[in-house]
Amino acid sequence: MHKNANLENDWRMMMFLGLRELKGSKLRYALMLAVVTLIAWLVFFLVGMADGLTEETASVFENTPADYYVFSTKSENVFSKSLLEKNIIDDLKRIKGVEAASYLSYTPATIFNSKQEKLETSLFSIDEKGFITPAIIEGKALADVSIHGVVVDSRLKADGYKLGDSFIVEGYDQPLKIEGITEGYAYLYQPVVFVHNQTWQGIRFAENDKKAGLIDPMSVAVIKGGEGLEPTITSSLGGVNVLSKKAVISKIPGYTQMDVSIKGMAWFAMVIAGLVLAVFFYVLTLQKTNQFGMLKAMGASNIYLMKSVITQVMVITISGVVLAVVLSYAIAAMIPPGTMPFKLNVTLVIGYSVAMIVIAFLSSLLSLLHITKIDPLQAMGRMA
Amino acid sequence: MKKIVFDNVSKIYGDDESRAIVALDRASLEIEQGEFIGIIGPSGSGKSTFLSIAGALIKPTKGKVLINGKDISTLPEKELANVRLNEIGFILQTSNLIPYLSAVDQLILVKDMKGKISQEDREKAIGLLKDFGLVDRLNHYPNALSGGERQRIAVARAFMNDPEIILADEPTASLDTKRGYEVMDLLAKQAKQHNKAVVLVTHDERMLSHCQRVIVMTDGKLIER
Repeated sequence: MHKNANLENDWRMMMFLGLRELKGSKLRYALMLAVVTLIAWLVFFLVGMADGLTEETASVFENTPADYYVFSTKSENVFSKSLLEKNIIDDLKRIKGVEAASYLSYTPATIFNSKQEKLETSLFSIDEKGFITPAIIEGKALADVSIHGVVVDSRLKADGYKLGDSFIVEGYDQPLKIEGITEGYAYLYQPVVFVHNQTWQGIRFAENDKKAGLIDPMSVAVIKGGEGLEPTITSSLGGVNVLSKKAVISKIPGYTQMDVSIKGMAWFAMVIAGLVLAVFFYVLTLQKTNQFGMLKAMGASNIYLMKSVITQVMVITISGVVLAVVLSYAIAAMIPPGTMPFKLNVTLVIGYSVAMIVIAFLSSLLSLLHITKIDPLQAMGRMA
Repeated sequence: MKKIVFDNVSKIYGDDESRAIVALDRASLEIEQGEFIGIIGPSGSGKSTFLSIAGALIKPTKGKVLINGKDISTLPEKELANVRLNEIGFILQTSNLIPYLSAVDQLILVKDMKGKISQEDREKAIGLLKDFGLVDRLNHYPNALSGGERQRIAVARAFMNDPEIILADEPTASLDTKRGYEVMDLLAKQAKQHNKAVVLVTHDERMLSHCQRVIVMTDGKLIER
């Protein structure tokens, strides 16, 4: 009890002058609070959008627990061009440092529902018993679905697909049936459909293509293993390129550009907020030069006056950021699922909040510097 | 005990010998506890310089200055701020109140600058405001108060930290004669009651009635009248 009372007193002590001024000039500070809140909201909106969009384009890799992807050399590291034979997996498993190996096959696919409505999807096949099987939220796991059964991402629900529905894949005569639903898998802004590898082969290769002369083909091999495995694998096996998960994601067309440009905008907005705060408090401090001079004449230390300004900057910034976080989560909750790519990642929200608070603190330095330069003598009203 | 000691104090502005301005010229003065001293003189005579040095705002060029026994000519700026905070109560020409603080908070602010505020400080502030006839103005803000009331708050504020020395720089300059007398009477009464040394700088001779000693300043020199 006693300790708490002391803490409260310390807190009050630091805030006395600053807080009373906030109370006394409500309109002025409320306007500034509105500016900070709106800019912080914009920042979270941009960050949420960047995350939502990158998820739409890369979540299939972000959510797959593979560390490395092995492409055929001729593929130029493009999933749709890469083709390997399945027996390479056994060779990979023998390499030292490889903990697990499996495969991932990909092809873009256009599907049609019973009303002949068209939808672009990303078709993947994976080893249903391997380490990268998707978690199921409805229906059966990929290992348990029938030969023409599929597991689809929940994004398909927004397009009217549900468990038990069948659909046609363009260029493939057998209808496929949705027997399981997973979530969190999209690639190139298209929801993922997981199929058996035979189905994938049937869709990927035209009948007279004879599977490009390959035995049991697949797109890429996936590997679980420690860091720096790339050279070991390429030197053990010929004709392959090895890319880490991070490299694969950053090479997805548009991924890096989009992430950097949207987050760049967020940083710009934060710097603007910092400048607006800096100017606002600097002008206020200039305006209060006489008042601060008088307080210094009465014995106020620089630190005391600085604390009052820092208190105000922090109260406004932290309130603005908290309001913006609440607004952002409210908006996120209001967006119907599947309609708009927007995702608030808690770590990023905290990170950007801290960044804004640090920027706000830096923005007060100009005012703090001015405070140290105020001469108490000017309180005398006339220089001697 | 001597509260202010000026021993051969000079303040010279400018380094260049020919153009240097001597604002204070070998001034010597001693002020005892509880003394009420008036300083008059035309503008430019050095009154403000004297007050600035006595108030630990600037250091003298030459000579020794003791404020409540502390030699301020050797103290660093941070220590000077402490001397101002603890040993001196300033009353300035205009009330210089903070616009967003209530009358009580104007006084508590002085305690806050020192570090802690306690319930006793609040009671002390209220007590002082009562002594200055402001009991029904405790929660008023400066813009809701008359000039006389504002200046009485400023005087009460000077007593808040219980300083040994009160320095008043033309405290009645912005008031009419009647309000001016009221403020001066209250200042003198409180100073006597708390046994404070007061230095009143003014160019209004009518305000000197409470002074035990009057010193005339001309061209930086102090001459006892």
